[in-house]
Amino acid sequence: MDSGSILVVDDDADITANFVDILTSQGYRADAANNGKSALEMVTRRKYDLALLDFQMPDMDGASLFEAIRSVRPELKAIMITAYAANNGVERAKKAGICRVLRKPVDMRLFFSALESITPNNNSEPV
Amino acid sequence: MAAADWHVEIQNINGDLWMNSIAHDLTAQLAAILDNAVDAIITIDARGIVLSVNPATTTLFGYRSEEVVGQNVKLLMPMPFKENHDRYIANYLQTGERKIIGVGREVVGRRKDGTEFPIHLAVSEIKREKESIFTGIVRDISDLKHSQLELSRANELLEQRIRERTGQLELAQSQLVEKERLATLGQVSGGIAHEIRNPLNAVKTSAYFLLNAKNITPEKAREHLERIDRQVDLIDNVVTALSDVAKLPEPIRQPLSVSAIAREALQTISVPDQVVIHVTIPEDTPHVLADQNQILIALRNLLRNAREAIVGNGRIEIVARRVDRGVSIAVEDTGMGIAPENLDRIMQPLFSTKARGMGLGLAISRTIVEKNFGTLEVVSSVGVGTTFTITLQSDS
Repeated sequence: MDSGSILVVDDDADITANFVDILTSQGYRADAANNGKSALEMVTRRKYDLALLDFQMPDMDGASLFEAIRSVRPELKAIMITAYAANNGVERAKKAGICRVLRKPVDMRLFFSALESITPNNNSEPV
Repeated sequence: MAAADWHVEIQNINGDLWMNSIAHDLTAQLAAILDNAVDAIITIDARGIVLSVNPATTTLFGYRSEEVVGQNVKLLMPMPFKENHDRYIANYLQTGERKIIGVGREVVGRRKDGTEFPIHLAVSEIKREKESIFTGIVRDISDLKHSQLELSRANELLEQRIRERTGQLELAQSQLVEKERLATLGQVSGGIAHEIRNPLNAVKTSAYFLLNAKNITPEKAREHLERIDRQVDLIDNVVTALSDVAKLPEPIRQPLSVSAIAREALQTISVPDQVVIHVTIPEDTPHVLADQNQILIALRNLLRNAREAIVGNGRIEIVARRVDRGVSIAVEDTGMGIAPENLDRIMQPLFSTKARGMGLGLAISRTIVEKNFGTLEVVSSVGVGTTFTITLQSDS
């Protein structure tokens, strides 16, 4: 049933909890972090297949966080979600090596197709 | 004749000779001066008849000396000076009113060939027993005039360029204003979009979970419904804040105790343990005239910002001071400070340096304070801290 482990990072605890619920119900293992610092601690402690990152957070933005994560886990891939309409976030994210950028509110169909193309085992069954 | 007297006589004779010799030298000197003067020197009698001219006069006007001497000086003038000259002299002799004598002025001269040229004319009067004679010193100021003309042309050109450049700058400025207006609009919509998309994302993902997940427990369903409810409230807050900016009610101003207001504002703000709050409000601080609810909103916004600016340990001070016809209430923090480039924009609606926040707090605070006939000022230093000061009129 374990089709990949995902770290969800957003400073809004409701959003991380929702993604954890959804991902868990889809057979993924998901953890939540509500700021960059704890996200870094978690990736250091445990191996994840993917990080789902919010672009704008109080302590550091998603792109900077991903750069920091990469120095610990160079193999980790990431999807970023942003509430901003402007493209500057997208550019920065891509430069940092983030695979996909999705806008909030996230279209879950797009989210899963991105997820399945990135995570190693994409054999998850719909719940 | 005594020998001594004779001696004196000789001396007198010698003295006269000596005087004659000096007079002769002086005359020669004066003649040389006249002959070599660069300026034309002309003497006329009270009727305007030329008595003498120096060589420079002939050079300047193109007449031979004998063509001028004995003629009326009008010969050397164009119209209308020519026409009016007799009247000038008559008028002066009658009234003593000086128009040119002893003053000097710029007029126009006329050469024998009919050409006219600008001159500076200085006239002096030599009073004699019977009648006065007048000496005119004429300087050709063609070069000067030419330079003046060049200068005024250059000046005109310069002014023209300044006008053109000013026009260009005005155009650039108006384009800049328009650009800024569009940028503000972009910022406004971007700010609103950000603040609404975040809760929308929470609502949408909860809805997705409720619609798609299997075997949802009633507790889990309730958790998500509560989340949706909470996030809808957040969206409502954004909309309310926006309409608050649009229509802030007219303040009902009444005398308020500054310490009571500070106390009340602090009651609703929670700060971490590592942040110390210090309040300095002297007992004799006069009451301020303001709308209590509105000032509380403003003060809370400032305190909230102060709290958020401090990372780790820090200090927030509320300091009241008596100022000219009012009271200032400063909220000082030892936080991260505001970058100089943001300082001007910090009170603009929808400008925020925070990850969360629409940038309405300070804009609302400033509007409130101004509606209460006060001012809101900010001083900040990056890495040192920020002081926001509300100044309000006192009750007295």
